[in-house]
Amino acid sequence: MTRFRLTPVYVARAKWRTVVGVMAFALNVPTSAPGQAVPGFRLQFDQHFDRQYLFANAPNGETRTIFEAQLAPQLSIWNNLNASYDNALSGPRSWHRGSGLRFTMLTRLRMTTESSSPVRTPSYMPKLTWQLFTVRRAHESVKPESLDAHGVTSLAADLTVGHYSNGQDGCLFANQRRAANRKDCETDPSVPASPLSTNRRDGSFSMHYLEAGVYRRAISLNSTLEPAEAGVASDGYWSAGIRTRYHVSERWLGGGMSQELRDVYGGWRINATADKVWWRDKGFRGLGPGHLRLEAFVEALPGMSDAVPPVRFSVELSRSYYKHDGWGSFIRYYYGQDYYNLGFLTQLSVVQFGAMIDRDRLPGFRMPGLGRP
Amino acid sequence: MFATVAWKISEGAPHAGDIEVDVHRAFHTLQRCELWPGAALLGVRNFAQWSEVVADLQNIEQVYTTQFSFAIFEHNDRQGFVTSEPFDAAAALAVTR
Repeated sequence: MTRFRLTPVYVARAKWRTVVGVMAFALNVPTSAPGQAVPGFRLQFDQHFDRQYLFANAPNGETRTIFEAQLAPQLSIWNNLNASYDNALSGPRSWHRGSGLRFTMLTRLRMTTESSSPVRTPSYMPKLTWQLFTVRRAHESVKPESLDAHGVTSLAADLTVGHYSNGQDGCLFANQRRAANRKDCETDPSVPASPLSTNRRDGSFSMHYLEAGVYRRAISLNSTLEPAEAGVASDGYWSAGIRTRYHVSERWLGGGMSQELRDVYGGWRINATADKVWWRDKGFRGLGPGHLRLEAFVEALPGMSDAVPPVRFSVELSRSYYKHDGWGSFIRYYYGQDYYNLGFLTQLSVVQFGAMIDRDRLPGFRMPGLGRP
Repeated sequence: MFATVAWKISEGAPHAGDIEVDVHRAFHTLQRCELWPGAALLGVRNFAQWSEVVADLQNIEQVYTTQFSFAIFEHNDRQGFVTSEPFDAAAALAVTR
């Protein structure tokens, strides 16, 4: 009788199978269906919303990370963006308005390379966003050649109320210590005050903010793409937007930005984003259709300490797969102030690469039909 | 996507033969499954093909106004059907994908 023995080889294979199984589950492989060149339009798409990332930094000397993640689970309270897109090609040419309200539990975390690999002071950033948008085809005619030539235009604006903190209760700066009343912080003369540095272990970082943004998107249509659902598919878009953020003082609302933080962090941010997205019908090793995105981001940091440059920017290239819930991969170059709560006095120049979920997918449009008003 | 086309040629129409030929020309080289005379499933895969078929059928209607009428419906891929075998179910499956 042959007895099964759990040898190291079996253990190694089992681990390998586990890794493959988890990856297959995460990527939902295989899901390809013959004839579905463009996945269904009914899938909700998130326009101008946060993407989710899991990535590594290189070099990681400043961030000291094993990995970093941005998680952005969303609770959509309402969103009728799809309905606006449905109507854009029907009837006379006009703006089709809609709105959305959603709560996002935005979280950023870094697993550090320190002993025991702690996730040191995660960024906790819940926010409520109200989005207004309007969609209109760019030309009156709904003939294929006209739609292909002129496409559809989308305008959007949003207003966000958010909180940004790291859940800690220590003094903000490294040269501070608790005062005798155990509540306030006072300067610790035994620690050099210059250069100014933050208490990266348990310093308290907290603010509320108001943010407003406007965006324009030009969507190109391709009447020869073969959608699974009756309709007209888009094969790309470019968009540009500007956002501004105001950091609310703690004098107005508890948990807001303290004066000592405001003095070095600044009370405002102004940023601009532009991206170009291309349809791709084949994916690596049959992962299926999706899009390729090239995105540039730049932000001005008025009122920020001289410790970091007054501007930060990034350039990102990503590829996402529609049959896998928008999963994909990306690579990004980032330069400027460290965006990770207590890292704000640190300058980064890093390449970031890894996995991401991008649900800002290429939209589809219902066909203009004689039987539809 | 695919489409169902139904058309009617008036009884005793003097150009019934010509109309029938024009209708089938309007379908170009698209995959098709003829359900019965005057009704067919069409493998219209994109908006450009849809527009071409619709324009051709409208042209036939303009020429033979009192002798011809049609209706065309769009469908999503893999929408189901039930048949009592009056037509080629295998062809219908190919068109509906």
